[in-house]
Amino acid sequence: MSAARLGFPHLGFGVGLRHAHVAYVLRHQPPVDWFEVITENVLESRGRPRAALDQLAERYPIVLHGISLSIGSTDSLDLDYLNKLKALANDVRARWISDHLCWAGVGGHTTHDLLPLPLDERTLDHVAERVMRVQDIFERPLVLENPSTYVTFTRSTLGECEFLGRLAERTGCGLLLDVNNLYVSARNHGFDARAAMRSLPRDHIVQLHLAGHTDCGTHLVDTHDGPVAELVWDLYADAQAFTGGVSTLVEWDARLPSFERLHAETLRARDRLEGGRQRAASSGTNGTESQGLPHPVTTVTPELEFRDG
Amino acid sequence: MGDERDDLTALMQWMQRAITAPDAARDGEALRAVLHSSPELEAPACLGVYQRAYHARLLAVFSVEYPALRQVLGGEVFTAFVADYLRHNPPRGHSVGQLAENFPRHLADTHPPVPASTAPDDSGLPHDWPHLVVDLAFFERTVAEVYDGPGSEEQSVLTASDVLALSDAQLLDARLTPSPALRLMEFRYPVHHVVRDVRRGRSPELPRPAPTYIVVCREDYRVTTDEHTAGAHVLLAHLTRGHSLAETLAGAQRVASREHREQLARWASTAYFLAFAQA
Repeated sequence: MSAARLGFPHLGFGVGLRHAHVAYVLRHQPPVDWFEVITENVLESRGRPRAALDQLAERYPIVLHGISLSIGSTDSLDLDYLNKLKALANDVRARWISDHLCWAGVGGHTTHDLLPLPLDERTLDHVAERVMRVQDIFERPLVLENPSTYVTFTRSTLGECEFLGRLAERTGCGLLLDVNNLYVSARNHGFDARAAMRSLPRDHIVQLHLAGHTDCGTHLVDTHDGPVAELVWDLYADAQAFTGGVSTLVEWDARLPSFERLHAETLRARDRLEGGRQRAASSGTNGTESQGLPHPVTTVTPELEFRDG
Repeated sequence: MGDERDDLTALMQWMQRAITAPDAARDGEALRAVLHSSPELEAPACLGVYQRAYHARLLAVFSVEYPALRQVLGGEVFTAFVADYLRHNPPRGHSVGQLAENFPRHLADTHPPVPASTAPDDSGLPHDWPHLVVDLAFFERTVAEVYDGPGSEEQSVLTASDVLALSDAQLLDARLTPSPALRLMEFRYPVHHVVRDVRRGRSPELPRPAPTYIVVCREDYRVTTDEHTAGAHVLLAHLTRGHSLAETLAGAQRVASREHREQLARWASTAYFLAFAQA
């Protein structure tokens, strides 16, 4: 494994933990290198989600991955959210805190989506200032991910990777390179994913994401509802070579398979590096109908007992 | 920097409106001035990915939180109710858990008048279906709140033995501290049966109206529900307000019966109470 970047360790090959798998993981303690937890599923929890996270943090390295920071919005930063997130990260000894280069809403509203930004010098100044403020609060580098995008703005003058690279160099933030998102955005907007990736400052990339997407014919949608596509695996191999090897994690949200199947997908990421055999790539999902929804959709189903029968 | 931020804010406001209220973004020319087309899709179709995702994502959140309500209403009506709620309560806050917190109140405040006729309508729903709908919504929301809200798991709780060990006098004077998860609910329909059936994958039988008293609580991080009699509900309501058994029974019987002791012991055994409160 390569050395730590920005002070963050190389954690190996992790799994994006979803609520439906928590009971299995607590019971079986599978040999997973680390877990990434959706911040918003646990931040305000005073029930099972938070209690389970506390238990898992005793056994596994945890990374907190958020979808609501809205680092690009022009609304004020939500200091209550940031302070709670910092406290949570300290409580569970989160190895790092990540979110997305996006905005979620403006004017006090939210879309609960990862909306793209117009990428130009003005936006870069705006986002860089906010990243610095967040890092001052967290007292550690923030890690930002490239989202999948479906529109680009006529006022944009920078490519997404160029924007992220300059943001990282200016603020010292880390980068979470979502290989699937890069592939999806490159296909949707017609740019060269590999060339874009190589424009990133490799020393700032602390993590890779892998996930499945859906091909809608005219465009790709980042649905997280199936195995990683073969062409994404190829891009992943290049990303690992480019970075020299960084922490890697598989996300799977819709049509969630068994934990064993999800873990097997993670181990494929390791096998790719070791040149070992490819594990079976059967879907192995639980049959839940996919809605073809772009990530993120993060919900928790309560456990309910009827004691009168 | 100020002008630049204003500029960015204006763009975000435009895009947010275009996503959440697509009718507001029908001017294709204006849209093409802001957004590029992709190699395969015109700019309006690119934006359409976000427009469809916005509504589908929020609907998915409501469907997870209100599965029984969705099943009783049917997908189309449920979707219309959610859309109306979102028009009046656009999403705020960072957690989708907060998204639907006022949905039951919205349904209660906006449902159509309940007709005087007691005959079922064409849909097969009872004549006072708004009451069933509102009751179901409040019950399912309470389950969600109790599941992720404060509970008693990290504290010591009162046990049945604690209650059974009290003398009659101590029992009469005892005041109880309820679990923060304890909710006493009164409904016009036994909606918990509908929710139970749906969660067990069965097609729910629509219940007949009947005054229903349910306690929602939490034990070992699982939400629990118990149906109570009207009398037990009144007694529990008094106790959770900090009254002693003696105060609760004033005017009725001033003696704690064996049934009262057993009742309290049963409730203590199901994590309803944290402790005896200090006088």
